Amino acid sequence: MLFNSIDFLVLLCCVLTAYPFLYKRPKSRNVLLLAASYVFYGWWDARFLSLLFLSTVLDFAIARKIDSSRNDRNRRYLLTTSIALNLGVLGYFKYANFFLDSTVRLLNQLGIQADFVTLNIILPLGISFYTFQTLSYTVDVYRKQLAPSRSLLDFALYVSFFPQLVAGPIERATSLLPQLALPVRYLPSDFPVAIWLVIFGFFKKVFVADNLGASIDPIFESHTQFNLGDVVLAIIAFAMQIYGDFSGYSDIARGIARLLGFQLTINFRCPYFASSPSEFWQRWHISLSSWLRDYLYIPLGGNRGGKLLTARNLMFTMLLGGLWHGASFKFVVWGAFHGTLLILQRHGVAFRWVGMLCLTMIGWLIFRAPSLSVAYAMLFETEWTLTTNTLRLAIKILFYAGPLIAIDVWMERTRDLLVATKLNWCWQTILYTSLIAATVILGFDGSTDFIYFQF
Amino acid sequence: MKQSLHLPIEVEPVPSHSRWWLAFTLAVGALVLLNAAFIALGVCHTPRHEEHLLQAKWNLASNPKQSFDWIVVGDSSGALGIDPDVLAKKLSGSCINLCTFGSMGTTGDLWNIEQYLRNHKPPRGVIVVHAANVWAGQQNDAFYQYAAAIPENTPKLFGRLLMQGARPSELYVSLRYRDYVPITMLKDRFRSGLGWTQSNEVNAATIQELSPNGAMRLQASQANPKHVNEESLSYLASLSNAQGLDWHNRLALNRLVDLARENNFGLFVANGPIAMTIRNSTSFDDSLVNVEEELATLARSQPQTICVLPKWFAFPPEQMENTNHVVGSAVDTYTEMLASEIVSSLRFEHFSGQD
Repeated sequence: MLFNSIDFLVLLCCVLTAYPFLYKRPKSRNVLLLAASYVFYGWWDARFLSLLFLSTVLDFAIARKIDSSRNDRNRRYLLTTSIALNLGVLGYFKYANFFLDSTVRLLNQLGIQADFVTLNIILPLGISFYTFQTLSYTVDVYRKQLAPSRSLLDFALYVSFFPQLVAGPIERATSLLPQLALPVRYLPSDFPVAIWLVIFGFFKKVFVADNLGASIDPIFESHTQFNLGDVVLAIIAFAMQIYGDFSGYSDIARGIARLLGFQLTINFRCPYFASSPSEFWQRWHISLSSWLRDYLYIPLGGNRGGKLLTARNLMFTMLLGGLWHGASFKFVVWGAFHGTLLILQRHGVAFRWVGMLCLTMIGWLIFRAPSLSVAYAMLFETEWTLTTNTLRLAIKILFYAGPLIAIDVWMERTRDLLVATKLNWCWQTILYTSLIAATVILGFDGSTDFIYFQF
Repeated sequence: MKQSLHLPIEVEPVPSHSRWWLAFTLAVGALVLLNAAFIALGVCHTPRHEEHLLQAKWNLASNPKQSFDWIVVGDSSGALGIDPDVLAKKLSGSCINLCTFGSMGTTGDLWNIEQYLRNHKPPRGVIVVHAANVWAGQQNDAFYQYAAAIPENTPKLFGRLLMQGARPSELYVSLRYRDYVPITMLKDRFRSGLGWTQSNEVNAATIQELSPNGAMRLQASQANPKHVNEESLSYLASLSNAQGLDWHNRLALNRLVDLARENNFGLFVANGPIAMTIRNSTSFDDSLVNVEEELATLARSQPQTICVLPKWFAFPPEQMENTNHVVGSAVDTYTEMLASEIVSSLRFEHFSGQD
């Protein structure tokens, strides 16, 4: 179910209608939210509800076993089982074909004829997100940083909470589970903030991202028909598209959660103002980068083993971070690219804001181009000519991306992501009217998937 | 990865509830008023290009003054690829092209045939032409938006969509949206004013110049071999393992077979043109095994009513605009190839739907 669909609007209206009667009673409220979450997920493909449920039950049971076990070896064995099961399921659904194809290609290059069958595997929606949530839960229980949930209902809701189920933010159990166990207590700021996040999120998705996507997709699909100016503009536009799309989803998710009385993790902090690679990852997809830091980079040794080991850990973390985005070499290369930048920073290379912005754009070219060879061709084999079409495209991109850039500048300068909620009533009226009008009147026709759904 | 000191944070506002509500209500109120003004001024939804095409073909099917011996329905591969004059000459009888585009699936074909039969005596034959990816393609949101372009068909559609287990609510919302949210028409005016419409969209003005037999030869664009080759590779990369007919298509096709039997016309199912690179790929064949088997089974079960033409009409990239649209100069070739297949099938004794 897409946020920008009638189906979701109906579901949300049903939940919000029943919610005032239930929000103070955690058990009934959680039953409602769990039912809504399973409907939300099952709407896409009901068969995969069993996978979601299985993952929930297994991690719930294993975490309780870990907690009750006094034997360290047993605890480690249980943790390994949980990790193996979670990564096994994720690996099968997301990476089986990738590894089969890669093996065949490698064997063929070595002169060994191999032809495995490509499996017909459907990637379950949101599996990368909820698998990371359940993994972090088990690891936190193992590390004794979190008491295991006593309620399967609460835990099932933690895994499947519909606002963030399919595209994050990747919530930590330490943050969301305690909220789910208590009655909701609304703050005076909850409603204004929630409405702002939802309006701004839809604006970013429907007005900015979808319109930019429609403008630049032909350039990435058949770049040979365009000049270098078009290509450069397309890369800039894609940077704004993916930011609008993903941060838009996160904002809507956080806004809806807040309407229901829950606080979700901030996932973006004006990422294109980063002036170094490490700062970029503190601003972009924060819930993933902090997950990778806490559950991969630090357990690998972090920066504790000298420069070489730190570099290895950084590269390994970013390679897996890249692979998390999809079963394709281009994502691995994208991860390696960011890993290299982080290593360079560790070795004293100074980055400036403009430089970091340009490097981020190059990263997005790798990310968006259909293949690495196309990415190379787009940048180095396209002719530099300036046509009126290029100028028209530039105006178009500025029209769709300009307002988002302006709002981000405003947030960055005030260091406040909610600065819009502090305007006086007159300016708030103008801002809300403009954003809603732009979304409704000038938004892209038809509903399109969020980019991060595919991950 | 240490925490930077200067990252923006969320500073919770201390809102005055009455002022916040005032701002929010005024914002929504301003938009509602603007929209109301549009309704009061009688400004209605401006159809998009696809809707223009649907309406144009619907009007052709509704025109009682013109009767035809042969009707072609299907998607854009047929809309841009078939010249009804050429087909008429080869099949000895008048012919009309009522093809629209892929999002409408076979359901769109069925609606046009039903509308035609409401206003005319049955034709001798109906030819259904689709690109390979349409048969297994699921009906998407665009279908409901476009279907609402023919409001007069809606009451009947609701019943049928319910019967098919589809989502009449989508259609209802699309219709009401068109009626009650006319401010969205600003979008089209704004885009066309700035020349921001997609270059490959079928131009509304040209659709209004559609010939009385539905020919759209003028819209077929220039050959683009490089683009066709690139698109062919993406097409092949996106092929999944064999799927069957989408159930909407299956239901509509079965209903078309019933109509053919009841009205004693022959139903021919044919393939649209396709890029040679795709046709020559084994993965393409593999992806269509189930669709072909299902169509063949249907043809075997009703041998006197439906005839499935298995031939693929492959074209080199120099004769194509994209993977399933031929350029203007290849329209005659494709139409003649299609006509020859139909003529050959008419020779089969068991297929008595036609003379």
